[in-house]
Amino acid sequence: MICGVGNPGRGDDGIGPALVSRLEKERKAEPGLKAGSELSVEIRLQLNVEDALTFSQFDRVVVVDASRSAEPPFSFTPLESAPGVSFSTHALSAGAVLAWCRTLYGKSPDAYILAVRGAAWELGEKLSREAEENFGRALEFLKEYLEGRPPQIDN
Amino acid sequence: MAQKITIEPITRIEGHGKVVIHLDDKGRVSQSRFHIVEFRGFERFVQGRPYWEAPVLVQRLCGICPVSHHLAGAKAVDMVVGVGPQDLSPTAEKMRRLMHYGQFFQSHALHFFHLVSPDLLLGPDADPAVRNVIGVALAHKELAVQGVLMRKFGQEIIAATAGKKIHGTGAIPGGINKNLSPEERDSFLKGPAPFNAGHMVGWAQAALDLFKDYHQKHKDWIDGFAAFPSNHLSLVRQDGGLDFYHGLLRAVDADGKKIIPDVDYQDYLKWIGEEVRSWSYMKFPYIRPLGKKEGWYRVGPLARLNTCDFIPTPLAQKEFEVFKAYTGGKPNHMSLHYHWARLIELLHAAEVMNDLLRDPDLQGTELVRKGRRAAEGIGLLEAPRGTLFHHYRVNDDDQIVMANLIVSTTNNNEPMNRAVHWVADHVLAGQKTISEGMLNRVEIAIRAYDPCLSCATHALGAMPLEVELADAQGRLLDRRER
Repeated sequence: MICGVGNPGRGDDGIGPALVSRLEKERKAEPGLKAGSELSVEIRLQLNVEDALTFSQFDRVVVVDASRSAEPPFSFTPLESAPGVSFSTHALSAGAVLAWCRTLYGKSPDAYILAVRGAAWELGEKLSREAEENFGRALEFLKEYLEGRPPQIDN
Repeated sequence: MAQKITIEPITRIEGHGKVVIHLDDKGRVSQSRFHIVEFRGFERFVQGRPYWEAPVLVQRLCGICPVSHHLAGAKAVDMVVGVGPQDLSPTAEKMRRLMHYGQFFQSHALHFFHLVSPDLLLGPDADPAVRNVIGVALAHKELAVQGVLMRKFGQEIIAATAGKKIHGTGAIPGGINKNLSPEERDSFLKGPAPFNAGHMVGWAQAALDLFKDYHQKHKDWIDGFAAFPSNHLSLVRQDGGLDFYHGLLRAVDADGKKIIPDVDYQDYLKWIGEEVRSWSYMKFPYIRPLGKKEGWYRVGPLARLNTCDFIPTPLAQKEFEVFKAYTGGKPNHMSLHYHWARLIELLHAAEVMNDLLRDPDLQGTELVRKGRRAAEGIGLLEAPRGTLFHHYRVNDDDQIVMANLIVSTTNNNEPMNRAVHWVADHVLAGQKTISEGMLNRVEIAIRAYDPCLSCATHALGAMPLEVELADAQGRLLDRRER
């Protein structure tokens, strides 16, 4: 499963959903794209606890999200399980979802996070120029990854 | 010695909360403030956009409760197209109600199972390493699984009524853009256990019984923690019944006497003012007849059960009677009783969904109505966290030229400040060391109000809470993050 997370109404925070939407569009246009039938795509404004149930249904999960700090254009790293609770329901990290998945359902999908560097986070529906460039490179990486190229792990 | 404590995880520019506690030289709390960096830019962002985009655009205010904004925005633009709440077709009104009660159900389930249960089931002084949902899941796995499925059920109701879970387009000016098919209805009513509406009623009752059992064993804490009198405000049905989707604006004082006497919310500006304070980006609403100092009020589950006269579903009404009897029929001012009230509302939402799904009007085909175009629209409803106000003005080119939003959490700004002050006064002041449990009690106070602090999702970030403790001269002495 490829899961794009972010708010398309907040500039570069929408990188995740935009990238996953583009991937899905290209996948439909190229029926021969490898892993097409094995691949599921999801888009989330925000991850929630029920996503633990969704994660548990897949062998491998890649979360695509914008980042303020990733080395441009993007980083691709293993997603670490990170249980925790906030004072607000508005915070559930991908790591927390993974922790839920393991604890509640006994499932441990291979999980990674593709963090695409963004630059502008104000209200707006367009990606910044920098984000557009990083978006393009992240999309190519993701397509190659799905074609079977081993993931490069950042240290 | 004066001290300053700060709790803060990863700091973000917006959508985070910051608590600043000032202790005097004798270790007593001289001042405490709960700062919320609220992003108000959305009101400018929607200006210039066609009014019909508002119900979809406003969903981007929040990744957790977009449906509340969607429906409040729709109610406001209904007025622009000349369709008042009483003019909607039965199908449109009931589809919106089902959407709304579905989101109440999932929102309240999320809050209780994900946030509150660790404190109740594991204790506020439990090791932070286990005082989280994983700790709950390890100790009470069935409960945690139920919480996830309850949340999922509500989300599926939203998807079926709004068209999709996220950025649904279900509510449109003057109506709705789809009805509920018989297949969709049957999937919710007759789905394999436990994923059906009847089962959700049972689970909601069980969650409430869990809280009541806990309350019986820990009355002093649950009753005494951050208890202080206040006014209360919400919408109520014309007959005084609890209603999340529509009603008249009512406020009562600490003794239950009406301050706002069941008025049409189109006149809200006559009754509600907003004060600006220099130290916070968020405004402080107040009831005008009482003035800025005395006019603050609570909203949300506790306020709703304090303002309404009854709950129009049988199981929740029975629980409401127990709730009211606990305070002798007078308003309940105990902050942790928000959780009790929230669970009664969870049960009510489950009952409403179970009943409404059987209404054949949901399969009706009259979806949209039209009326006389107006230049202004106001839409209020009860969101899970409290009363939500959307107000737009529109020019002759159909563009929004003014937008004023009072979100639920803004209404609770002063009560949350007072709750934090209570904790600072009773728990932090005079202590020689600041323990993890003490800091957790600050969070417990805030969690009771279930604040909506972020109007956006996060880019690999967390939702921070920062607590600072300052000396009498305002110098930062200590700071912690969570």
